[in-house]
Parts: sequence; C-alpha cells; structure tokens
Amino acid sequence: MRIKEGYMLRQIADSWIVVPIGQRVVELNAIMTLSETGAFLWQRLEKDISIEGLLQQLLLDYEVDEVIARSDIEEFIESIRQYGIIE
Amino acid sequence: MRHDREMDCISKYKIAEDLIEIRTQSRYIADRMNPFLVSTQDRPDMIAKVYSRQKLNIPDGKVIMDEYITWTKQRFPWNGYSIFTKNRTNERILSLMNVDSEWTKSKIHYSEGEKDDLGLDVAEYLSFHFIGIMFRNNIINNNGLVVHASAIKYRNKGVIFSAPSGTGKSTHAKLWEDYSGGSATVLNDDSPAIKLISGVPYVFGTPWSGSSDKFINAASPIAAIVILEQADINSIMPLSIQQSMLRLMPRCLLPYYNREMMHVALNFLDRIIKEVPVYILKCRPDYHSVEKVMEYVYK
Repeated sequence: MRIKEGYMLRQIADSWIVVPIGQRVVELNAIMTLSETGAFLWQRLEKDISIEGLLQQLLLDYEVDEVIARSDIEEFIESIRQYGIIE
Repeated sequence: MRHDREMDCISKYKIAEDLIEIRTQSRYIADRMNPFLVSTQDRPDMIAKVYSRQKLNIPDGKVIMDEYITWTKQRFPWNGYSIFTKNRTNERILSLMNVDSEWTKSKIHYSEGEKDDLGLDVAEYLSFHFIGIMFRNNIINNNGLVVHASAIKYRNKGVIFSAPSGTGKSTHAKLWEDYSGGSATVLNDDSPAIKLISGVPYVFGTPWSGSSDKFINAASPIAAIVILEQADINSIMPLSIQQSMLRLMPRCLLPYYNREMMHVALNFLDRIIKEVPVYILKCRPDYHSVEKVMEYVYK
C-alpha cells in the first residue's frame, strides 16, 4: 500500500501538515496535521510498503514496544484510509 | 478584425512593491488600476497584455481546476496555464488568460461587448480578475502572499482580519472605520497582500477586493493578524504558532497546483507566523470587539 498521488507532507510552524497538490483547491476547508510518528509513517508510505515493513522501520528508529508500534501503525492506516488517501 | 496595437495604452502599476505592466484599451481595467499607477523605467515583474476579441476558442490541455473558472495546463509550444471562464450557458468563452508557468507574462483576451444580467461588462471584469490571479501567483516568487482577509491601517499599524467567508471580516473592518471616526482606513476588504520589506512584514492594499471595491494604495507594517469567530461575548486570545498556522493557512491563496511554488509560499507563511502575533477574536459586531483588539495591539 501507498499514499496516493497529489499530497505533499511538510513541516511548517512546528507542525507536520498534509497539503493536497494539483487538485481542485482554491482555499482549504481543513488541514490534516500529523504527529511526529504519523509523519514518519507517511514518508515511508510515499513508496509502496507493507504493514510489516512499516513495523520494522518504526522499531529501528523508535524505542517502542512492538505491540504498541503495531497498533499505532494500524490506527494510522485506518485514519488515513478514512480520508481515502491510501491505495 | 485585426487588433490595432498602436492604440494600446501601456501603463505600469506598483502593487505591494510588485511592478506590473499592463497593455490594454479597456477603460474599466485602467480605471480600476489607476490608484496604483507609477512612472518608471524599471523592468516589470509581470506583463499582462489585454485585448478584446470577437471569438475565443476553448483551449486544449489537461484540466486542473474547474469551478466557475477553468484552469488547464499547457506544455507545448509554451509551458504554463490557460485560465478561462465561459458564459452561463457554457457556449462561449468570456475571458481567457494564457500565462507562463512563472507568472511573468500573460495574454488575456476578453469577448467584446459581453454583458451580464445587470448589463455590466462581465468579460472586462473577468480580465481584471485574471490579472489578480496572475498577481497573487507572481508575488509568491517575490517574497509575498495574498490572503483572504480584510486589512486596516490605524495609527501606522496594519491589522489583518481573517476568517472563513461570511464570518464578518468586512463588518468588523467597517466598525474600525466608524469607531475611529475615519482615522482607521481599510487597505483592502477582500484580498490584501503581505510582503517582507527589508525583513519587516507589511500589509498592502491591492485593487482586487472582491465585490466590495474597497481598497486604497497604501501599506503598513503588520502589528497583528486577527482570526475572527462569531460569538455572543467578546474575547481575544493569542494563538500558539501551531494554532496560528492551522487557522491562517486555509485563508491564504496558495498555489495548490504546483509543489515547488507551494514550498516557497509555505516557507513565507512560516516566517510570517513566527514574526507576527496572531490572535483569535471571538466577537459580536459591536464597538466593544474593536476595543478588545485595541487593548492588545495598541497597548
């Protein structure tokens, strides 16, 4: 799975935000913000990757329990799936 | 009919320190831009040539936006955008702008004598609006940004009031004019420009002010950006940097169509938010709400 085309992740004013690019937008109604971990996962999801792949990367970079990491990943995927930005 | 270019009026205008050259025979555009007229030999930041045409053809290209105004991406023989508006029955093009991807040169054509239901020259108005679209993108490459807001100048300080449409930006700006007995003036009631001048954030009036036509050619250092929210009781509170960004970014006219320009614009916005205090004003449409802002900004 991966993030669909047409989104840009960037850090601004101490936050990670997701901006739609090349879509039919003049003014935004809402901004999607990500946590530090969310931004980490997003960056990996810009290329095709599995949940297992994400888990390995997260465990490599963060001091975190495997069970917690897995549930964080699943929760993150579920939340961005609701916005329809993952394929 | 061949257009007689000898008759063109070539004028230069300075808006938010951006130098704009316009060639046109349109009286409407010349009148609207007139407060910003300058006499200079300097090289313009952008050039717009505006001509009337009897017939306009719908351009090819990939459609990237289509809400009242249609944008298409052009790649060959020139790289840029075609932006146009059709009449209500979608039969004819009222106005069409072909602009390069750097937003420095455009040709704008408008359909001759095309009037709306009120008998106004809608095609000429649209051409003027297209120059505004060009300006707000051109300024991004010149250290600036246009924001959807109402901006006032009072005691040499600029205050920008921003909020989603219909919240009461114009109403609040008008309250400042009345409360101050006219010493507060509206710089622009819809889309003022923000620019860094020698590192200092300034707000500038521009001639594009939506339907209100309320604007002046003046500027002021920005003392505060105030996000408005309707409420039953007036209160004002400073916002954190993160909250400022979340509230202000949706109100900025950003280049969502282009990743590179988006980065430039967001870098600029990041800097503005870190330098200018941003407040949230929960307010009623009364003088007391004006006093609340004054307490913070003019203490």
